[in-house]
Amino acid sequence: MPTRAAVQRSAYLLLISAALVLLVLGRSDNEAVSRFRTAVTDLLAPVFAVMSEPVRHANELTRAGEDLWYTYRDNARLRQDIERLSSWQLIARKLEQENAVLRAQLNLRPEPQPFYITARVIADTGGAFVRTLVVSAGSRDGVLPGQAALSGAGLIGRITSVGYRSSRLLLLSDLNSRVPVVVEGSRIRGVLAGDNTDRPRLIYLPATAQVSPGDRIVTSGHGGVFPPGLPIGTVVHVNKGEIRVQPFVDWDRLEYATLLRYELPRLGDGLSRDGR
Amino acid sequence: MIGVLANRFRNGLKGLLPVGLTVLLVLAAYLPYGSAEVSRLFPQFALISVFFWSVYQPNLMPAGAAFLIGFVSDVLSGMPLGLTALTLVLLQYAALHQRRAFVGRPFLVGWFGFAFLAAVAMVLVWLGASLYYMTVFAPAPVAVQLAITVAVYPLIAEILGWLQRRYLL
Repeated sequence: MPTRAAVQRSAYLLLISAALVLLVLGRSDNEAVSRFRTAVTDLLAPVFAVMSEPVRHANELTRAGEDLWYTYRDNARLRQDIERLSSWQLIARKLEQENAVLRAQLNLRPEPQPFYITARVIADTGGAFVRTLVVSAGSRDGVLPGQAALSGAGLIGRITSVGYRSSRLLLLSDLNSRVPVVVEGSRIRGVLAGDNTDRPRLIYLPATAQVSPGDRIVTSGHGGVFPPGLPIGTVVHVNKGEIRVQPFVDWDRLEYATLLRYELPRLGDGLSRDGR
Repeated sequence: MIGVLANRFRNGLKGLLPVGLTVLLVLAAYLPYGSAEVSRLFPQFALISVFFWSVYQPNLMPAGAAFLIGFVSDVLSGMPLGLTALTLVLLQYAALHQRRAFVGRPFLVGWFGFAFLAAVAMVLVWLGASLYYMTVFAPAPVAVQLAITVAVYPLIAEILGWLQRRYLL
């Protein structure tokens, strides 16, 4: 029947044009599109939370097995670590006291205390094109766009969109991730740029900068999005202007993310704080 | 009367099986498996499922449903919204219009047909994403994911075929 074929053809045309319109709207950073995406993700968050439970238990089980298997080896290594770190602890205690005394003498206003929110990773959408996570905390828990996300070892990314009970986290390795950083020892400033590999690139360094493998990279705090000094990783590869950083985070053990609520110190803040 | 209604309800539920199952398979791709590699190389079950139902039970996988499945996938994955939707609509169209080449033919024919269409679909996604983000994405991970998807096709098709025989025929 020709009419039925015509109806079918126009249905296809309609769907294809709808997809193309969505692509164009999304490309132009349409506010409605991103809000809609957040809302649907939020709606599905409980489904993910339930579906991810058995996966989490299975992961825990395999890890428990691994841990048991390596107990002997790990024990020996941990003993050595304790020896080494207890001497560091003495030094740290001394420095902490000295620091407190010096700060008091200078009358330095303390940095605002950050406020932490711990959220469970409920969806991992890391694919060939996008590297994001969905975590189980949203506006009801005090999450705001731009907050830094850490795992135990260091920075993993930042919050890009916030729903009521879930949020999306853009990982350091995503193509769209740009983090202002400094090389810890030399204080050289640069930007850590993701490119969908596990080792982001360090770019926009001064031409004369000397960076070598092993250098630690931390956030610089420029731009006011992240607090300064959050550990990120170490330089592992320097070759003809291409510098790659291995983040401290273990991508395979990313079950929880700690979100950091940080407010940039503002002028006059000190006064109101003293008044309280 | 109640028996008739219950029967109709049951049939309605059965009719939703292909689309519902595909949506579940899409969700399964984004669970936190605790391994970056697993998430990256996870098979594109949606391609298998949309192809399978478009060929073997086309009335239960209309173009609109393919669009919806792709849309849900785009929303969750953070991919350009509309890209997977577009790809799955085109896949559904191609599979539906070539289904005579697959139905009642040896299994290998269906497998090869799927491999070809899945390759076209993934090249389309790769091209679309590269254009959208104005960058050239590394083709290797996409190729590996395609290979894995084609490799698991027989197993998934077997399971879907069993479900089809059990509940829909």
